[in-house]
Amino acid sequence: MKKIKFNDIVIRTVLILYSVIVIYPLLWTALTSLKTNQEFYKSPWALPEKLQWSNYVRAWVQVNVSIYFKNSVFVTGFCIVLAAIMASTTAYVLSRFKFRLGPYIKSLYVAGIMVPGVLMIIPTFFLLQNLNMYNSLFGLSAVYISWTLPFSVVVMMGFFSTILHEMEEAALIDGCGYYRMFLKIMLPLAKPGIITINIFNFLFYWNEFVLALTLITDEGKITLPVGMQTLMSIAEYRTDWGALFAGLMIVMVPTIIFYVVFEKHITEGMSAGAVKG
Amino acid sequence: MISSKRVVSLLLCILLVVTLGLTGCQPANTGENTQAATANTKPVETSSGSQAEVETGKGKTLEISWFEGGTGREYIESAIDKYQAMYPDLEIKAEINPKNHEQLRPRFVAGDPPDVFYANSSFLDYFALIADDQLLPLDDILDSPSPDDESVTLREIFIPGMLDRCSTDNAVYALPGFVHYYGLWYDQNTFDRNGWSIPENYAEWVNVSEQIKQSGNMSPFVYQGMYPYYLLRAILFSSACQYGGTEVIKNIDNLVPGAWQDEAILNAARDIKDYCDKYLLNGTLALNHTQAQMELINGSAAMITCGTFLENEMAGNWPDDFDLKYMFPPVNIAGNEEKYIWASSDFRAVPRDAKNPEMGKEFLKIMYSKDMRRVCAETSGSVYPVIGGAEGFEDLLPASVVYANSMLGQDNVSAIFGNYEKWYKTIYKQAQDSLTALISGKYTVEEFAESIEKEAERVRQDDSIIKYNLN
Amino acid sequence: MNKKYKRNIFIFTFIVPTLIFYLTFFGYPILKAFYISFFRWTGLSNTKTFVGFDNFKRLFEDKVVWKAMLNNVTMLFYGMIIIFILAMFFATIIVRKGYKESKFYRVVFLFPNVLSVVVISIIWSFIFSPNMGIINNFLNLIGLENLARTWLGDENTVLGSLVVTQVWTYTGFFMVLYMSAMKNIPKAMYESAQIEGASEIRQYFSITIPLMWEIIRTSLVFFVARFFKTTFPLVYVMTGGGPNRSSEILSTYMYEQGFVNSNFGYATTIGLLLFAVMMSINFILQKVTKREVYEF
Repeated sequence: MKKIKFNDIVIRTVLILYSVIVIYPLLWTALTSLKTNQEFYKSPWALPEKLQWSNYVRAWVQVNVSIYFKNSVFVTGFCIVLAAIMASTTAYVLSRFKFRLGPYIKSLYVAGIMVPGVLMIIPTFFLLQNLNMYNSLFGLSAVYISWTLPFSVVVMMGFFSTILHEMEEAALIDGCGYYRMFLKIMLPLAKPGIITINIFNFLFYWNEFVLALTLITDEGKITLPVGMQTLMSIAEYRTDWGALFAGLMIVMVPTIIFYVVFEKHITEGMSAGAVKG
Repeated sequence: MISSKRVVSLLLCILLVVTLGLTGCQPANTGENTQAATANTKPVETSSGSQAEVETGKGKTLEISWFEGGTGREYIESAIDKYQAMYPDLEIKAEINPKNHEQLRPRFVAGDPPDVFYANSSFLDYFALIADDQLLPLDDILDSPSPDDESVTLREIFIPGMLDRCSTDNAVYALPGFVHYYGLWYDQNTFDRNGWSIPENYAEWVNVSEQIKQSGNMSPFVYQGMYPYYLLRAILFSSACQYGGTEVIKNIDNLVPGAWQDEAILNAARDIKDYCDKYLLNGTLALNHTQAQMELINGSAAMITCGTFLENEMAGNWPDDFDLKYMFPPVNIAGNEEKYIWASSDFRAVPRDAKNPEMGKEFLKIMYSKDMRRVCAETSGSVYPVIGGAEGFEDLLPASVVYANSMLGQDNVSAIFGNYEKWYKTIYKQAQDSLTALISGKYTVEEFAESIEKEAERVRQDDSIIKYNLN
Repeated sequence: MNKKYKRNIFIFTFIVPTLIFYLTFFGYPILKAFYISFFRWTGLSNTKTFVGFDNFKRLFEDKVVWKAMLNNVTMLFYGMIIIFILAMFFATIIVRKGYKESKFYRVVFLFPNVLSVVVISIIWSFIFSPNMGIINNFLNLIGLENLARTWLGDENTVLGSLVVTQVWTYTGFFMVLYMSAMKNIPKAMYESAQIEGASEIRQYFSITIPLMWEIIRTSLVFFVARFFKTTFPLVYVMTGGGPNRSSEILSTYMYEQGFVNSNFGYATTIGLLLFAVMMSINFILQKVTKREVYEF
C-alpha cells in the first residue's frame, strides 16, 4: 500500500509539472501584455506596477487588430458554412449512392488529404491572379474551403455510413423526394459529424497563416495570424512590446473561449474520427 | 420530356455564371487599380500635346506604391500634396504600407503596375525586374533641369557614384532615395564618465574595449546577430578596404575568381573574429535588430553597428541622458589616413508598363527639391544622396545624423557600397551565413572565405544568372 | 425512367458543383506545380523560359536542399518519438489511475493544440530569448547559469529548441487520442488476463498496445501531415532558417527561392521534392508499423 502511495505522489508531481509547463507561457503572455516597455526589459518575472490596459487599446486601434479580427471572423464564418454544405452533400451521395464515377471521385477526395499544402501555394497564388481573385477575401475563402474538403468529405462519409439504410428506404416509399430526405432526415442524423468537421475547420480557418500571408496583401483584408506576424514586425520597429503581447492575447481569447465551450465536443470528435476512421 | 442532356447543359451554364459572379464579386478594396483603365491612357509627351491639359493634369491618374518603413509616411504624403498642388485636376492614388512589395509582384506579372514605386529592395528584386525589362530607363529625367537650379541637371546634383547602384550598361533604372551611412554608435556620456577614449584605429579599439570589459558592468560590443549584414557593412568591408583599397569590393562585385579569398578579406575577417571572441556581448547571435539596439540603450553594451537611421528607429526609447554619437568604423590600420564608410540607399523606379510614366518620373524628380528634402529631414531624420544633402537642415536632423553626414565631406573619407548584395543575392546570403559561422566558431577564417567563394564560383558558372559589370 | 432521371439529377447537383470547385482550387494548382517546375520564372513578369529538367538537376546539386531535408527528417523523428512517449505516458497514467482531476489535465494538456502556430512561435521566441527569456532567467535563478545558451542562435541547440516547441504544442492532442483509444478497450479483456495472473505491465504490453495499434498508426499519419504543415510558420517566425541554415527546412527554403530570389520555377521543384519526401515517409511508416489487426 505504501509503495502505491509513493508512486501516486511522483506521478502526480510529474503531471502537475507538465501542467505548469503548459500553462506558464500563456500566463506569462497575459502578464506581459499588461506591462510597460521598461518593465518588460527589467525582468520577465516581475509583476507590472500598474495594469497597462492601454496596451490593449493601442494593439486594437493602432495596429488594426480590429480589422484583422473582422476579416478573420468573416472568412471563418463564411468558410464554415460553405464547407459544411459542400462536404455534407458530396459525402452523402458518395457514401450512399452507387454510380459509375463514384469510386473515382471518392479517391480524388481521399488522395487530397495527403497532399501537402506547401506545394500548392505558388500555383494557387497565380491561379487567383488569373481569376482576378487575388487579394480578395472571397478568393482566400475559396482556397480555404477547397483545402478542407478532403478531410471533411471523408469524415462525413464516415458518419453517413453509420445511418441505417432502412431510413432512406422508408422515406422513399413514403414519397419523399431526394432533397427533402437529405434535409429533413439525413442531415439531422449526421449532426455529430457536422459538428466535428466544423470544429476542425474552424481551427484551420482561424489559425491559417501561410496562405493568408501569400494571398492577401491589402492591409485592409489581412487576417489575424498574418496580422500577428505584421504586428510583431511593427512592434519590432516601434519596440512596442506591450501592444504586441496585448495583440497576442486578443488573438488567443476567442480561441480560449471556443475551446472551453466546445472541449467536450472536440475530444469526442477526435475519438470518433480516429477510432471509427 | 426534357432530355437529361439539356438539363445538364443548363446546369453547367448556371455554374459558369455563378463562377463568374464569384470572380467579379470582391469586397471593397482600398482604392487600387480598379479605375485605372478608365483614365486617359496616353502618356504625357514632354513637349507636344495640349499644354492646358498637361498643366492641370485633367483626366489623368497617377498611381503610386510606396514602402512604409522606418522612415514613416509623412514625407511621401507631403510630396503627394505638393504634386497635387502642381496639377490640381490630377487624380492621385497612393498605396503606402510596409508590405507593398507583395502587392507589386502580381501587378507586374499581370502587366498592370503603378506609375511610380518604392519598395524594400530586400523583398522586391529590382535587378530581376530590370532583367525582365519591367523598368523604364530614367536617363531622360536625369538629364532634365534639377528642381531647384535650372542650370544644373538632375543627374549632376547626386553625389558621384550614387547613380551607379541601380544602373546596368548604359541606363539608370532607379533613383537612390534615402542614404544611410554605417558605422559604430555609442553614448558619449558613458564614455566621458568612464574616461574612455574614442578609438581611431583597430589597436585603440581593442584597447578601449579591454577597459570596458574590465569595468565589469557592460560588454564592449553588440551587433544585430540575426542580421549579419550589419557587421558586413559597418565593419568588415571598411576593414577590408583598409587592407586592399576599394578594389576589394569591386572584384567581389565583378565576380573575379578568388575575390573573397583576397588577403584583405582574410585579414578583415581575422580582425573581427579576434575582436568578437573577446568583446562580443553574450547571446548576440540570437538578437534581432531592435533587441540588439535595446542592449545599447539599456547599457548592456557600449558600442553597436548600425546605420544613420538608428536614432529615428529607436525614437521614444532613448533615455534623456543618452548622447548618441557616431563613430567611424575603428578599423584603421596604422599609417593609413583613408577611411571608408558604407553608404546604402533604397531605390525608386518607374515601371515600363506604367500608364502615366512621364508624370511618374516627374514625381520622382520633385522629391529631390529642397523643400521636399526639408520635410524628409524633419519627419524622418533622413537625407538624400545629393551634394550637400544635409546642409541647411542641421536643426531638423538628429545630431547623430548631421555629424555622420558631415564626416563624409572630409577629403580622406570615401563612401563604399557592394553591388553584389543586389546582383547576386545568394552570395549575399552565403556571406551572412558564413559570417555567423565565423563568429560562432564553426568556421575558421579560411573556411569563411572559402564557403563564400564557393557560392561565387557556382554563380559564375551558372549561365542562367545574369552577370553585371562595374568599371 | 423518371425515377432514374430524378436520381441522376440529384447526384449531379450534389456532386458536380463541389467537384468543379475542388478541382479548380485544389486540383489545378497541383498540376500547375508540376508544370512550373520545368520553367525558369522570376514571378515578376509573364516571361517564362522552358528549361526542361534543369531545376531538378539543380535540386540534386543544391547543398541547402539536402541540409533542409535532413533538418525536416531530424525534427520529425525526434518530435515524433518524444511526443509519442510523452503522450502514451500521460494517457496511460490518466486512464489507469483515474485521478479525480483527470479532466483538468485533459483540458489543459490539449489546450496548446488549438492555438495558432504563429502565436505559439512568437511566444516561444521570447521564452528562448537569451537575455530576456524565461528559460535562461530561470536557469540563472536556480544557479545553473552555465547551462544557459543562445537557444535559437546556436547551431547545436536550435533544432532541439524548435522540437521542444512542437512537443509542447502537440503532446496533448495525441494524449487525448490515445486516451480515447485506451478507454475503448472493453474491461472484459483485462479481467480475463487478471484472472490468469498477468501483471499490470504484462497486460499493458500484451493487451493495451496491440489493441491500440491501429490508432497509433493513424496518429502517425496525422503527425506527419501536421508536422510538415506547421513547421513553416514555426521556423519562419522563430529563426528564419538560421543560424547558417541550421534550421532551414524545405518549405522555408522554397519560400525563399520563390519570393526572395525570384526563382519560382526552382521553388516549385523544391515543393515537389517536399511532397515526395512526405509521401515516402508516410509509406515507410505505414509499412514498418503494419501488424495484424486485432478485432474485438
